[in-house]
Amino acid sequence: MKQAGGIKHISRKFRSWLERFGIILFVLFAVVLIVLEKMDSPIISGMRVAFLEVMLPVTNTLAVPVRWIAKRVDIVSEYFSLIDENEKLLLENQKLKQERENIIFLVQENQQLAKMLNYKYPPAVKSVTAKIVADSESAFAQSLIVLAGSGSGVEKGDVVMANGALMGRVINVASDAAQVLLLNDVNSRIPVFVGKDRQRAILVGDNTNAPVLILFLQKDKIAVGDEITTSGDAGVFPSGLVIGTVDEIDDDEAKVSLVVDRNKVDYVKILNFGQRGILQSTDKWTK
Amino acid sequence: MEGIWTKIAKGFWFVSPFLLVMFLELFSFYPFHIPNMAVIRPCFALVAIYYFAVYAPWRFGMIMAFAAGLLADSLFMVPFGTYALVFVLLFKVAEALRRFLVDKPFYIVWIGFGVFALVANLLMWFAVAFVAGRFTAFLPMVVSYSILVAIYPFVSFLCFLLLKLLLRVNRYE
Repeated sequence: MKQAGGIKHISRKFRSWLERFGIILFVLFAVVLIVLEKMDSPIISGMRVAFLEVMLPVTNTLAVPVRWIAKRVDIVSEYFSLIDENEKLLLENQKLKQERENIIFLVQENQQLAKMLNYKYPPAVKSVTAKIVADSESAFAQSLIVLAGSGSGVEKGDVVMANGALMGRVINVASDAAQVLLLNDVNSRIPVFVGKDRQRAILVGDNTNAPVLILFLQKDKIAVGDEITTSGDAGVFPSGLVIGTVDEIDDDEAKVSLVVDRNKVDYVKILNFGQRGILQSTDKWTK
Repeated sequence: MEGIWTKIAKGFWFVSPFLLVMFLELFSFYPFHIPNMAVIRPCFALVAIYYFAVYAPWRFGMIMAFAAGLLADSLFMVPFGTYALVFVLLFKVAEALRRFLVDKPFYIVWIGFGVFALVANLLMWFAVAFVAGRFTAFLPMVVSYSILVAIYPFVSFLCFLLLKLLLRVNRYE
């Protein structure tokens, strides 16, 4: 009885202490976490990986009813656009058939020319196809979780593509899942080429669907509709990956329309080009 | 002596507000393909935290607010600590003002939430900008805030149902 009374007394004391100083403690803890995140601390990436490991099966199970509702909403909204969608698909199918013929011809021609020139092809790229299981598109972050991790050979820094265009890169890897930073996330900065003149610029995300181009030197050489590809400058992405086109030009920024529409993608391709580039030095620094 | 099932049931009811917050976070987290609204995904859990702080702070403590914040940080993939900071501050301030809010008409509490959500969103906006070194677009934040305020009656009704259920359970125990 005495012991129980003692425990109750300690618990009451702890509660009153928590009432008084808890707020300071929690706020301090949260601020420390934010600062660690700013410093790119390995503690934070460790926490994220641990979250991916532990929470993915839990959230997958708990989200069953949420997915059920989402699917029903999708079915109802798709029902109303069924006829239009069918017409569009028929046209697209016809176009694709024509394009397929062209591609077969071009591949054969390319192979013949490569043989004539004795061209040496670059080594084959390792790739994994993964399902998107969750995304965090919001006003504050733009990233995805895909169902492929270190167990499938996915590594930090791997390139993520969909529909033949760049979508983002892997930033955290757990054993069965990986977190992908999208091009339009505010933390994403990619050196790119713009247009036929290959003007150098930096593509920066701002958490909207249209990231912006900054730091381009000759504004008059950039026009609406110009294609944007990776320049490969930082060594993280290889050169020439398609990103999108210039949509709108302001004084010192240009809005970009991305090729990949996140809402129409359920599977992504994760590619390992064997490049770590600038990521290698930041990893060393954080270690 | 309480049986093991009674203890489990008590434990479940104890954490049920936290589970509701978790469910709301998941609801905001999973992909909903709403045309032209890809970036607009408010954190509905903010409503539940405000509601519990005003009407039943003894059922949802600061530890739960902090844990829910960390979970939201992981789920929404924002810098670690941002939602945790916002949830704890929101909970503590709303709890401190509950005497003023608790017996007021619904629309006053709703307006109160409007002010709280605005501060919470601005805090998030600054914290994300601090980590990224660049401000994110302002418009999605404003739209996200507007949806959050508009959705308040529905989410607060869920919280109200849970609190009513908890009262009934307590009466039978």
